[in-house]
Amino acid sequence: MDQAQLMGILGTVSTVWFFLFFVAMLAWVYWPKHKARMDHQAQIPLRDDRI
Amino acid sequence: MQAGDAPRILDGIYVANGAAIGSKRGKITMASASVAMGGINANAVSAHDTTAPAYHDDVIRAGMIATVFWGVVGFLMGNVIASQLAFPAMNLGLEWTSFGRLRPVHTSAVIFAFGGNAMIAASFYIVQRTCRTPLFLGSLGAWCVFWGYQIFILLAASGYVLGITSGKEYAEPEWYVDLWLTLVWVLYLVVFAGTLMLRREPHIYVANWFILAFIVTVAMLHIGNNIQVPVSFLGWKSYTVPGGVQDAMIQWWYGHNAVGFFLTAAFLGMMYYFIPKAANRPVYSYRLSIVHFWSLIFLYIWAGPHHLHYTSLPDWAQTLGMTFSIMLWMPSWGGMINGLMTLSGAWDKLRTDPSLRFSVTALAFYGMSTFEGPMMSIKAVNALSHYTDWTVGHVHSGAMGWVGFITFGMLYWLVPQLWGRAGLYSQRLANWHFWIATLGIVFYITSMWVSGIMQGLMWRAYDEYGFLQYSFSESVAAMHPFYVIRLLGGLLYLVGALIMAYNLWKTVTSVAPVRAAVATA
Repeated sequence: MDQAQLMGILGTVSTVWFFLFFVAMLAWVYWPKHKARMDHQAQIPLRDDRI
Repeated sequence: MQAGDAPRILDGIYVANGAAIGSKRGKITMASASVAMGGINANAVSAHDTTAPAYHDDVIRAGMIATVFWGVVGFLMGNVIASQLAFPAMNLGLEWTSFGRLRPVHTSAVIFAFGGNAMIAASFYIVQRTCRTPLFLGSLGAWCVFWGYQIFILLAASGYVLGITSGKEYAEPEWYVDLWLTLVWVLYLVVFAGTLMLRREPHIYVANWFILAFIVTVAMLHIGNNIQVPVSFLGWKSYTVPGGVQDAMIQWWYGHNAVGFFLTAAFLGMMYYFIPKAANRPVYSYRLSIVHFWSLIFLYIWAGPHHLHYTSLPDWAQTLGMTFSIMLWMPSWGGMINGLMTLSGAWDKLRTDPSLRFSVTALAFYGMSTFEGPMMSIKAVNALSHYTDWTVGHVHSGAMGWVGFITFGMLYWLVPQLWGRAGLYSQRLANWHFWIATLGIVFYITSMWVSGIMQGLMWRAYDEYGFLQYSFSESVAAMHPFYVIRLLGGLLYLVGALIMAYNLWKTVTSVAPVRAAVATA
């Protein structure tokens, strides 16, 4: 396999990998069960009474 | 050590602070905090946990002073070089004060000195509060970062004035300054990441994600773009190892991600903490902020080639840079909407809170420049805009509008907090600052739009015989009135910053500490 072929395969693999990563991230973030936890995490800055 | 005691006293004050400011800020904080605590996560550290150790705030106070100081210096240098472009006599005929030497002093002062100090201070503040733990390596580590960074600024700027430069835009420092910055930056990473690892809050708040991405990526960019060999054993001059188009691509991989991670990701971290804090409401959608983070950092790193359209860079790389730049529009606007919608239901605060007014206007400028940027990265548009003042205007709408205003918003909120003051010395002066600076930005960017597009059109105009219609010097002469307007805009921005410096100084020196306010309440 020469360099051009290798780069072609790596390009395809990384494109597919980034796409799958993105879809998985979206699914995880918007999974209905995770909503309450993340709403709670959003409160972290406000939960601090000390300056 | 004395430093440990001061924040502890302030801790005591702050509970009183809540009561003292009462209707303005304090009561709502208490209410929302207790609602949050009463609910879902029993593991969270109690806000009233009296055993919590004191935070290291002295270095953050120093960071506030350094931010204001370097901001004024940087804006002043910008006005000097803007005046040189409009009136060449302002170069003074001296090599040390010529445009070529002072221009990197301006860019480094505003980006690295003003922006860098603002971010180092903000990150130390945010990471301690959101992790509910003092800084890793304590006060000493933080002070080493702070002073090490000031030394970096002085080493870099003194070199520029003396003509010591690598000639790489936004990476002008020579090898000895690069080595020093690498040490300081790694220490900064150790302090920040160490604090994250010691956190008492189970979750790492999203602002810290952005700041960590900023620190790690800037380290990578700085080292990657400065692999260089000094020419002589003790001489300052060095050359980078890669040459030609590879060097150009590495330079703009660095250059654009300096924008993407230094001026964007870092200040988004600032935004995700200080807007919710000042508005007393959680960010509009925490879920959107996570999508914002991952898509922004994955896309930004590829956008650099748009600086090299129509050069010897391979065509596929140019198209790749353009494509990723256009895709960046989506996470950018997602983040802008997330910040703006945090104010949903509390828009009235914009009337009374100068801090929020700056932050929200910053987001509007962020939205504007992140629309303009992808548009300018399109090759056909870039054919007109590249090398013209349009680019300069674009950078400044982002730098003055977004980075500057989000930082001013933080300063107006944080300085009274850090010094335990009930509020700002003068809301009126803060409002003057806001309108003067906004007008200054409008003058700046509109004059550069007109000048840049005119310049681009003049360069590409042909007469009926196929000759270029204008000489280069004709295009330079045509730009003069717009350079004067730009200078006026810059002066207004500087005046605004001076008003802020005065206002913050008076806040620290003449507003009564909160303890006195409690006594009268």
